[in-house]
Amino acid sequence: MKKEEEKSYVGLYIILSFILAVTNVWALWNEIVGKRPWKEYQARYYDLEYDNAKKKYDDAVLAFEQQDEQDLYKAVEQKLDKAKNEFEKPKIQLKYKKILDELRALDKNELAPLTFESIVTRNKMMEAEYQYGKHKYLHGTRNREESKRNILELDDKSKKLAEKIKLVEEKRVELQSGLDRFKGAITKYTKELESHSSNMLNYKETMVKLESRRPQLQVYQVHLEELNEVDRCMSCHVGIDKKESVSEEQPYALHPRKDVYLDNHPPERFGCALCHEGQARATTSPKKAHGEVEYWLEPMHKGKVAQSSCVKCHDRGEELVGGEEIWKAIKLVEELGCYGCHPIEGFDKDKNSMIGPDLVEISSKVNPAWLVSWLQGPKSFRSSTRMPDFKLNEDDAIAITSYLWQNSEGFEPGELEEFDEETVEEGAFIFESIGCLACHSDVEEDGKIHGPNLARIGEKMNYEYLVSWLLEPKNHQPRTKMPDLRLDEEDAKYVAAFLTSLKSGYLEVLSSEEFLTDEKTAGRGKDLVNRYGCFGCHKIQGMEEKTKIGVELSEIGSKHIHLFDFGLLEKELLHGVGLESSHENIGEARRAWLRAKLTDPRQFDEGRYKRPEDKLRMPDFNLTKDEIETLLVLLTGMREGDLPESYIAKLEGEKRSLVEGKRVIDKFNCMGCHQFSIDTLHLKDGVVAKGMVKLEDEENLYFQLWEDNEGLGRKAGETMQIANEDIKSMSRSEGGDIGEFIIDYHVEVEGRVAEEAKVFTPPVLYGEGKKVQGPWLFDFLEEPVALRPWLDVRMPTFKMTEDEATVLARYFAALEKEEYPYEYIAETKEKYLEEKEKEKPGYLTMAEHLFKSKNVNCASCHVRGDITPEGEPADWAPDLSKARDRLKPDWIVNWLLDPQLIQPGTKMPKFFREGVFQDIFPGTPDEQAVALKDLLMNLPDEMLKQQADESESEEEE
Amino acid sequence: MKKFAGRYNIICFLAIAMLSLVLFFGNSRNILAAYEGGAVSNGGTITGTVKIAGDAPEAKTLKVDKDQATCGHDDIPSEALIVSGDSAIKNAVVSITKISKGKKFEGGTTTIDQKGCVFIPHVSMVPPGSTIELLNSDDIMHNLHSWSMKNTAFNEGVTGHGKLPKTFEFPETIKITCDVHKWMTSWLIVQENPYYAITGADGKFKLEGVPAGTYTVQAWQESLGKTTQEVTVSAGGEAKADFELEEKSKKKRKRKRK
Repeated sequence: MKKEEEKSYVGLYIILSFILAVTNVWALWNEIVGKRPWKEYQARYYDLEYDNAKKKYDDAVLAFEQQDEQDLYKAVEQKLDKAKNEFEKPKIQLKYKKILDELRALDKNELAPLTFESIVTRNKMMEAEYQYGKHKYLHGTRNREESKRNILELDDKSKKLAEKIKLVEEKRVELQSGLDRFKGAITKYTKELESHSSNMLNYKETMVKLESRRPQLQVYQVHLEELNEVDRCMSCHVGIDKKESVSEEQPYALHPRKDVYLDNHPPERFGCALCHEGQARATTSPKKAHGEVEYWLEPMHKGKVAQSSCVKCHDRGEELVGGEEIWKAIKLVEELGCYGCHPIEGFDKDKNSMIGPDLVEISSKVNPAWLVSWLQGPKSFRSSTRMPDFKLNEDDAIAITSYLWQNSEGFEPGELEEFDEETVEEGAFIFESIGCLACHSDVEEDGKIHGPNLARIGEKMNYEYLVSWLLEPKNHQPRTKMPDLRLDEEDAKYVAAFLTSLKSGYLEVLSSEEFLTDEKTAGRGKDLVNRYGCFGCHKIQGMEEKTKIGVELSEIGSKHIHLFDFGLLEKELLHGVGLESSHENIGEARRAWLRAKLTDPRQFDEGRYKRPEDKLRMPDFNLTKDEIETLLVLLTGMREGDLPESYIAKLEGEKRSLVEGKRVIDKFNCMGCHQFSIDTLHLKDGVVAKGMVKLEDEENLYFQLWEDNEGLGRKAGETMQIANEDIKSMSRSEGGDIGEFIIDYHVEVEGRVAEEAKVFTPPVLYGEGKKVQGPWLFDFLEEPVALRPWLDVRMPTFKMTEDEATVLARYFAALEKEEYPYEYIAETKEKYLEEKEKEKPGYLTMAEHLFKSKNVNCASCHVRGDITPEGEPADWAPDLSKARDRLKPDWIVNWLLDPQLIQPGTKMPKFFREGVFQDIFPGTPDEQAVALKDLLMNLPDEMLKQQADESESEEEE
Repeated sequence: MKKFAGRYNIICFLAIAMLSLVLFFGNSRNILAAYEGGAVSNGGTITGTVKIAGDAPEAKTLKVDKDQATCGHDDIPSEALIVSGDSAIKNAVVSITKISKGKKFEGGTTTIDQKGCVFIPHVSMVPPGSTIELLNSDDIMHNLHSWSMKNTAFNEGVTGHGKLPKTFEFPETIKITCDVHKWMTSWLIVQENPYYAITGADGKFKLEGVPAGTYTVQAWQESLGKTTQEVTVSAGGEAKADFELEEKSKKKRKRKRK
């Protein structure tokens, strides 16, 4: 044992010092490098940027060194040398020097003294003005008078000086241009030389700049004041908002669709995390910054999922450019009716709609065998149905049917009827001609989904119910979208007969119908209805007050991950998205659960003991993978918390009118019948043409312009041949889907040419806002009347709410930037006509003569009030007595001048050409059209009533 | 020698100028490049008859339900399908569908009249690019409505005893109607080449001056549609081609009378 004094701790100290030193070094390294990975990214970005510039420079050098380019360059160089030599010649030099001397002398002897004097004068003036102000307060008026005189004198002097300077400068310019002439060739060739090498030099310059002025490595940070958030993403993603991409690789890449996302949402105001989430403040590792760390509540949204944030600020009703996924998801939720079971904020706002039909009359509506089969798998009867599969067995289906039967009212369905072929044919004719095909189809699934597919409807529906339904759908289902087609009873019977004939032998007959009245079975059915919450989508007698049975989804995107019951599938599902535990990436884990739920809603019960009443209840919607991914974007975006008011993109004014209008248009499927827009052709040479394609063949298409086109040098109305190879892209018109069926009928059966048959399709609504008066449109939408006697297809009565009709009328006005709802129509005021009469005595009488002239003869085709034209009603034209309240005066004039420009193909001819009808109404075609318009806006009563001497024409049967 | 070279140059220049002109027009308007007319020596002939297959349908009449003072009180015989006793079809159009070179294209219909509320002639023919006078010999207004697809469509009122000149650029078959008097129909065929014939009441046709070769010959009739056959013509020879057109079975959907 050594004594204490003899012990040595050197070894220990050395070791500890060493550890301390190492620790210090590590701490230093960690502080400078380890915790600052962005430094490396930034440095790498600048390297890439430099490399990129260098590559461009190298390419430019290579291009410059090409033999051809070199030859050109050398040729110019020689020319330049020659020009220089020419300039160096003594004779030229002598002349040049002489002028140069003159110029210098001018500068020195004239210009300089004048400029100096001018400056002195200006200074003096400033002093004088100062003195004037001072005198005002300190001295008498005498001094002020004096200084005012002084100012005026100086002012005068400076004007004179300015004139002199101007003269001298003119002289100088002359001399200078003399000098330039000598050097002209040199300047020209120098410039030309530069143009050959400028590319190269520019790149060189950029390169040098990037090298020498490389920014210091630093944290780039955006402070979003209102949100009190700091966003440092751009410390690594340096190139995200640059004009040019230097690499496709992250984090160096440019933002995709930068024009939509970044240009509309500048990072200095929105940062990155507002859309992408993540932990934008973190700088110590990419994983941390992306929020892909344990317990971070909002991991980063990558790719399409970023669209989930659109609804934080934007109205859900608006279709956004760049928000395609979330828009699809919103539409899908509305279509599937998710909010029938799950309360979701912002959905289910339209009280004039329903998800599934009311079942209060089910027993008089359908065949019980059909209902039993339907409940066991709706999609096997109709694959396009929105009704999901509740996976019920036959017993369950029978029980539910029994309950519904005993809780519905209505009439006793009659005996099954058979109809003769003629009746069915007649029904088919009406079905095809009045417009049912706009929403429904009588053949197996053809993609039309607005109304139910009717290919097997005969197996489902009772004839008598159908007749009554067709006569007035809202009587049976007050919230149905199905409009009233104003059928009379006879027609309704024909159509119902046709529909009941549509069968495919799909149904098996029930062995017994006793269960329908059995109370015990019904009791079991009631439990099932309660369990599955059928009343969420359907109105069921006695269950009107029940609430939705599903979990609220309004903030599902923020719901805690431990609240999701993975059952026994946790590992499997998490592994599927590359996670070990759900905390690693809460967002991905949540999406994994939702994905599994939507794919197979009840799979979480697998392998677990659950009492029957605790088992999962959500039905299977048969969604495709894409649909599920789309829905996940929306579900991710439904989160708690609101952004400050200033971030909210309010939907206002014209935009609001258009968005709301489009919604109503979609709701009632207006585009099933009406064409709303026209074709737009984008040609390769940049010309954009608006009109309609009339004919397409292998090499060309024939395009009728609907608007004058300067680029093509053609007028509206003209049809032109355009080679397919000249076309860059085309966007097709929207709507009017029923047209092809109608055209087909008139071609096949009546032997018309297709173009002619178009007359029988529903009117095109392109430009409708310019055509009709707002109040009239509102009334018409509420209560349509037949306007076009030749049409078989008819505008149904939608029984829309006043709000819906207003929204639609406003939509058409907003589309054409027309006034709504009030518009001043001068033509109908007394003063207007008085003035016209003063200008042209007998104005309206002359217009009437024009109207009645045998060569215009409006009444030959047009109905006016009580007076109908000769011939069959199908050949008549619209009632002119309606024009006053229906049409806009300007539109009438344009229409009369050339109807084909507004509605190509219309049977209304053009009448007013230069120089015609001068004996009846002297004036230009414009004046004649205006006069007729004024007459139509003021049709005298006697023109609308059958007069004794005119009523000779026989009444047709 | 020098003189010859000079002339040679001019010829060369002219040839190139002509060629570029042809190319220019050819590119700007495909239709002009489609047919080239010139002299045909020792051309052949195609003759034949157009008949209807099966029984001749009953002749139809059109009801005059308007302007009877001018149009007459009686029904007008329909010209949509006129069949003679031996099944021959009137107003069928027989033509060679694709021929790029042949005799000069001259003539064609110069006027279509509306007289007594009937179009005269019922079927007419013009070369592309020609102008035709559309007349109205009646004392009432008629409108002329062309249901064309390639040529700019028009619909204009024509005053009594007035006229309307119209030019047709592209070859196509155009239906022209008067919408005021719905029974009035006429057909204008803007024909690509001069090899066409409109059959008379005997259904006979004759295509003359056809360069030797094999062609697709088409017979078309407004109510019966068209049919084609291959015909080979020898130099100076006469080829026979008879056509039979079949009545299409129409979808039956009657309209209920109320």
